[in-house]
Amino acid sequence: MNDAQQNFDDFTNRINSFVKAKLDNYSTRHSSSKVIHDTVWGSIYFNTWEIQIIDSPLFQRLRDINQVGLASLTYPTARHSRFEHSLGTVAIVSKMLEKVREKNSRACGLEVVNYVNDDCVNKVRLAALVHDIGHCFYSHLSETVYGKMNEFRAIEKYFSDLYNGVKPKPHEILSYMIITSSAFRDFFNQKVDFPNRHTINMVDIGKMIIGVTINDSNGKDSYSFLTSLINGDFDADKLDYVRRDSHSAGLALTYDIERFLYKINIVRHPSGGRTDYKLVIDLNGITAAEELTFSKLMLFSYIYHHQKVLITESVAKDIIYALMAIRLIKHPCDFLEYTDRDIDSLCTKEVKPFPRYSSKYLKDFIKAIRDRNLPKRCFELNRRIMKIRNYDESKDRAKMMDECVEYIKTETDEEKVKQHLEYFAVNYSGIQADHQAKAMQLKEEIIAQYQNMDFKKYVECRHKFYLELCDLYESEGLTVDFDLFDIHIILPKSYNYTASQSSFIMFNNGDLEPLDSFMNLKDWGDSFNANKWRGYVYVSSKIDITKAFKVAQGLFVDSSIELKDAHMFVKNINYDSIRKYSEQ
Amino acid sequence: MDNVLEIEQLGRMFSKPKISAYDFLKGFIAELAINNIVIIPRSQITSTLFDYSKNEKYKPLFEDIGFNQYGDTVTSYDIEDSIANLQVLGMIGKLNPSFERIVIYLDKDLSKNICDSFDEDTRQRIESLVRDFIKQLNRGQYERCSTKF
Repeated sequence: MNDAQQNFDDFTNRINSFVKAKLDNYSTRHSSSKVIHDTVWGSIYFNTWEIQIIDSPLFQRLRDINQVGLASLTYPTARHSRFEHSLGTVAIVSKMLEKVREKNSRACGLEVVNYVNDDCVNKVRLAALVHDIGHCFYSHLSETVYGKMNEFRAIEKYFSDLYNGVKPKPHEILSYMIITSSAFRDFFNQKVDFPNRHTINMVDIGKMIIGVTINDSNGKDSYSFLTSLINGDFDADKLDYVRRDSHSAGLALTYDIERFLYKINIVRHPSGGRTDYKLVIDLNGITAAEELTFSKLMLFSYIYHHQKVLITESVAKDIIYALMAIRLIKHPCDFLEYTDRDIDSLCTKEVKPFPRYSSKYLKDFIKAIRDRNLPKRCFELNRRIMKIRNYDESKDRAKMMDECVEYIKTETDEEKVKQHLEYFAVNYSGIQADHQAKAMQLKEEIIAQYQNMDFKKYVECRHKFYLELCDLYESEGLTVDFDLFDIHIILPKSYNYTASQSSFIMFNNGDLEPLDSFMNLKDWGDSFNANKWRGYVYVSSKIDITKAFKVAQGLFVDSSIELKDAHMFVKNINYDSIRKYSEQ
Repeated sequence: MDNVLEIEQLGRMFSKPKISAYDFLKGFIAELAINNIVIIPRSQITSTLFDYSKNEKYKPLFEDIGFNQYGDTVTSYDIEDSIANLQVLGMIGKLNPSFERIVIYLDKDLSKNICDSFDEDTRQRIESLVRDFIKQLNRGQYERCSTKF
């Protein structure tokens, strides 16, 4: 048996043991259908089989996993969990299918409506219900750690080889592995009264969750709409979380769900020798799609990349590594054993996870979150403050113009001249490019250095910052009573705006065109990214913000890049000291 | 202290792909620039790279790149994200008004520096992939790409 197979078997066994332990003593005997009231979608009807899954300890653990991680420390009312979100996803996916069935029964899509029957609806509802069952404590934050562990990398590769290059999110892989585990299948077959059980294949449900299209067994048809409903550009997951996250946080973001539901459809579309059943948006439903995309972008700005949320997550990340350092967590599957509440309950642990670098106990790290005793921002990196040094573009323009004139004079091939002119036109308008590329490369190195840093490198980097800060303190005759875990450097990744890549617009004559080529939502996303992206340095209350600001500036300055007015973005800074430092 | 893992030991519990999606895309455009290809159609990049990702020879280059297929449509967040980052960082641009083509702004020296930053094995694989890509270009299997003379 090779290493990859051994790792896969070990991983499967661990998942199976986890599921088994959660479901073993659970009885579904007295379950019955229910109507559950939801703050976003109102009353939602759940079938008996769904209640049997919802009431299981495996599903109930989602109540203790906050949907937006630790954002509730910034938005106090954003305390909703993965549990509500999963129920909401079922509600909205049902509405989507309902509208499609209604529309097709009125029009000519009989073949579609035949396929979107009750069995199909149940299948999609099941996928929506369990799509987040693999989430671990702190939601997406923990997956940024276990997703990089050696064992998980091997599993990712396994999925990529199995499903033609797919790279699902780590929690999606865990969801897939949970529902396809033998323990879950046994539970499902023996204790869940799913109608027409023979129609269900757990691997298909898993495929919908990880974003793989389901093909029928005869190889003639594929059903990409099933996957698009659960893991696509405008999937039920997104429709729910955009509404729920903004509503719970108290943000005035919205999109026209009613219009959106009227404007989606499922159509049969020839695709590489098969017929694909595709989810499409009618031409005049674009506005609703735009609203949804913008709401999502704004959620990044308001919540996910809010500076206070970022620092909370950075402190929480130290907790995760601390749990690994003290060997409470040794394997990616161990993450499943803990919920947010379980982590909080470790607040009494008197063990020093990083004794070489810090005298802090595990309980100190956890208490910082519990008491919301968070480090403060001492530096902000953004596009506005990063300037390229000494650049005079007129010289470059003149040089390029001369070269072009020279080329045209000497080249006799008209086609080559045309191509050269095209290149010239493009480059002339982006004349800063060469200089910019070099400077940008430096910026890129700075940013990439922090974004792709593993924990070891991050500790080294914080240590370097710490030593510089110590020097500054000592030069001023001050006592150092902090350590490197009082310093956090966060340069987040750009916003994720995948919307529009795989969606299709349906014109009034039935023709389809990729949404991306029709309207450049992605380019709006790029522009949003360029203007809204921020990186930060934070320090705990033990450290003077002005001194930390001075050291932080040094991190991002070099011969090609200078910082302009960086102090304008920091609160509680001592301007006299800043002036004094710049004179030095 | 014996019960606690050292940072070094913790570090060994993690790994990362040999080449990131962003670095691969950067190497790809740099190698194109070295070969004088400076304008490429944007629409076909993902599906083209998807085809190459299935080739055993090129698989190691795609370790950090995920693809999704919806029927005959292939998408890749990693490729789109890397292209966006390359644009933000000034290495490429997109031609107005419909952004259907990507313009590579790298000059040869910078491109060479980028390619030299990869280990020999990775560099050879990228070179070979770009050679194959250019062969396909020459066979007219893609929309027109412009070259710099």
